Formats: sequence, structure tokens, C-alpha cells
Amino acid sequence: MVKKPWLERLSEMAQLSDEPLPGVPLVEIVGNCRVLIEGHGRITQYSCQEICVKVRRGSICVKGCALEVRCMSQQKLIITGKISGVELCQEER
Amino acid sequence: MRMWSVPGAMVEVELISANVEETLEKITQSGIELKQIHFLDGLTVRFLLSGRDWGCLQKRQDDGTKVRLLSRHDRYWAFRALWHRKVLVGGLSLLTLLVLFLPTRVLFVRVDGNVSLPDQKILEAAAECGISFGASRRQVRSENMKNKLLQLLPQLRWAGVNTEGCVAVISVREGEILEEPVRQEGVSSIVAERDGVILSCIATRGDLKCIPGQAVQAGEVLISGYTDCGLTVTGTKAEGEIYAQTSRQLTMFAPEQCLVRCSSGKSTRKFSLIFGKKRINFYKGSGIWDTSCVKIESEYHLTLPGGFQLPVTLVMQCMTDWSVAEGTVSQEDAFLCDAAARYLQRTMVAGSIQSSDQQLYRSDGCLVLAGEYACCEMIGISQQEIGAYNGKTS
Repeated sequence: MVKKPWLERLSEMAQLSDEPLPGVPLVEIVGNCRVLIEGHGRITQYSCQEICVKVRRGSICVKGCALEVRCMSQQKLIITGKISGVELCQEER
Repeated sequence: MRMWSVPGAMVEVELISANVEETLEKITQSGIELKQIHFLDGLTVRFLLSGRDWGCLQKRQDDGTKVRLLSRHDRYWAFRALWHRKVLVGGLSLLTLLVLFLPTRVLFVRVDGNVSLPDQKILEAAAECGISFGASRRQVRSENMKNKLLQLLPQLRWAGVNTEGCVAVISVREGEILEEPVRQEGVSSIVAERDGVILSCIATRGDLKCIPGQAVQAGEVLISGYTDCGLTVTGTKAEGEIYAQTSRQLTMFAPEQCLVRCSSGKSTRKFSLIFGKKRINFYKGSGIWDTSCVKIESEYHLTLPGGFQLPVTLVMQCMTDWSVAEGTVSQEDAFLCDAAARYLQRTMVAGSIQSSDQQLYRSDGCLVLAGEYACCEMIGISQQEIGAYNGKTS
């Protein structure tokens, strides 16, 4: 059985499992034209077809065409373009 | 335009770094927000950031990282770039002034409610009152305008002037003008103007003295102004219609030889433009030809929709050269028969030609028309009676 981190267990006990925890990435997809990533790290791959962003314990790859990073700040990163897929690659611990 | 999509003062920066991804992460972690990030290659990236953050970014440049300002994208720089497009700026300024100025002016005038009085007359009167192209809308609304209009046009019973946008609407109501009754003065009879046989007679006032079929002579009383009432005689102005069969003889002459105008085919057009009282001629000289010519002048006024005439007129003069030559007039060209009929018709008070017997011949270099005409015409004319004013001379 996989042991959950203590923060997740605490949120489950407090019945806050729906809320994002600090440091945990949050991805919002608006239609097929905009992806918002909160809690992002650095951009690891950038091209018009694919943009990969490092997040905590993994990376998020956005695939599509005419992709571009519209905004990048400490809190959020917005990718726009014609999005065909969003993939979460989680690192094994 | 790009400047409207950028909310504040933004600068476009190019960043060259050995590790672009890490540098970007460091920049964003320091609180700088980057927008429209474009990776040109593995080492170069372009992005937008606010002008305030640009100073912070310059201060924290690391070794191996190079940042370069490419352009500024704020309103100040956008407007400064507009300064190089003087025609556009001038056009926009003019447009702004027109937008502010035009709504305060009257551009069109419309007349409403008139029945018999023509629009043109009302517009002319309105122009005298100050309601014309370019007049101020405040003036148009004044009460003085209404009073002036009513003074200038006595046919109007009421006038009101309103403005709808740039259109001045003149609403009028016409008054009924009662014709003054003709005063009956004196005593007059209707007498025969010429000899004839009475065909019909109608007397609306006075004493009828003739009957249909009766032959009358010129000067004979047909309707008398005096009526015998037994003990007294009343005098009045006789009125009525007496139609009679008359016979007229007419001889008309026309020259056999005459001068005929011949055009040489030479024709010239000259144009002028009149602005108010100023006339601009688009030709040299006075416009007077040495030779005889036919001059036809046409004026074309510039008119706005609604019938208001602007003080701009195009004048076109068409001048055709001509000369005279002797020619013989044919019997058909003389039009003597038509001229005789027209002459007779003009001499009648009322009536028509029933039949005619005409002869056309040449005599002593003239064309002669001799004719006898049977006419049905009104022969009664009014004649003032002597002594009708009870001793006063008439």
C-alpha cells in the first residue's frame, strides 16, 4: 500500500480533499485554447507543438499546435494555442 | 493595434542565456511577470514585461546572461510614433473638430405642412430670417424666427421651427384668404360688339333684350342694366353671356423673300462658377463674340436634399455662330392659315371658328391669304350707361 504524504492525510482528515494543497500543481484547461498551470517550475521543453513545464514531482506536457507561453509569473503560467492534449508525467519516488 | 492590447507601459526584451529555462524561472521567482514568451532558439528568448520590472531585470543581470531592450510598447511611445504620420493626425483632429462643431449647426432645412405655398418661397423667407445652411441651432429655436416668418409670409396663419439633429423643420399652417367681393358700382348694359345672329343668351343680372335666332347689329343693347318695375326703374350692372353666329373677313400678307438664319456649325461652351456673389470664369476675355451668335445660358444650382439651395452655381454658356442669307418662303412655311386662326381666336372674348373659306395666292412679291370665317363667339361687351351716377360724371 502506497503511503500518502502527511499533508494529504491531514487534508483528508479535515475533509479538505477538494482543495489544492500548497506546492501541489493545479492545471486548468479552458476549451482547447488555454491552459493555466499554477505551482509551476521551469520550462523544460519549448516548441510550437509541445511545451513541457516542470512541476513538483514531475512535469506537465501540453501538446498541440501554435503553442506559446502567454504569461509567466511566480504563481501561474498560461499557455495558449490549439491544444490537443495535456499529459502529467509523475516521477517515481 | 498592439498598443491597445498592452495595458500599461511594456517593453520587449530579448534574453540570451546558456540556460534559458533556469534564467526564466529565476526571473519569475523574483516576482517579475513575463508575457508573450517566445523561444527563438535554445539560447534566446523574447518576452514582454512592464517598464518598472525592466529596471529590476537590468540590476539583477548575472554573468552569462544578456538582456537587450528591443522596443517599447506603451501609449506614450505609440503616440510619439503617430507624430510621424502628420496627415493621419491632421485628419483625426479635423474629424474631432467636425464632430464637435457640426451638431451645433443646421445642415438641412425641411418644410412641412404647406399646401399652396411653395417650399422655395418658405425657404427663401427662412433664409432671410437666418435659417440657412450653417446657421446656429440655438438661433433657430428662438421666437423671433417665428414672428419674422409670419411677417414675411402673410399667407401663413402659424409657423414653428424645430430642429431634429442637423435638420431644421419649418412647420407651417396656411390661412384661408378670403376674396373681397367685387363692389357693384354704376349701371352698365351689355351691347353687341359686332353684327351676328344670336345663338344662345343667358342673363344673370339685368333685363334680357334679345332672343335666340334674332339678328343684331353692333352697338345694339342685348342685356339692359335698367329694369322697369312699373312705378320705378332700377339700375344695375348687367351680366350674362350672349353667343352669336358672326362672319369675319381677313386678309394676311407675308413676304415672299426673307432672311434665313444659317448656322456655321461653330459652337463653343464656356463655364463659370458662382460662389455667393463671386463669379469665377473658366475662360479668357469678356465672353463677347465678334460675330453674331446664339447664346444660351444654363444655370445649375447646387441643392441639398429638401430643396435648400446652396450659394454655389455652375453657369454654362453655349454659343453658336450664325449668319443670315436670303431665301424664298414656301406657302407651307408661311403658316398663314395657322396665323389667321390664331389671330381670330385672340380677338374673340370666347368662341371658336365654325367654318372657313380661304384663298392663298402670290401678289407683288407677297404671299396673300384672303379668307372668310364663320364663327360662334361671345359678342356681348359691357358698356357704362351715361348718367348712371345720378348727375355725377363717370
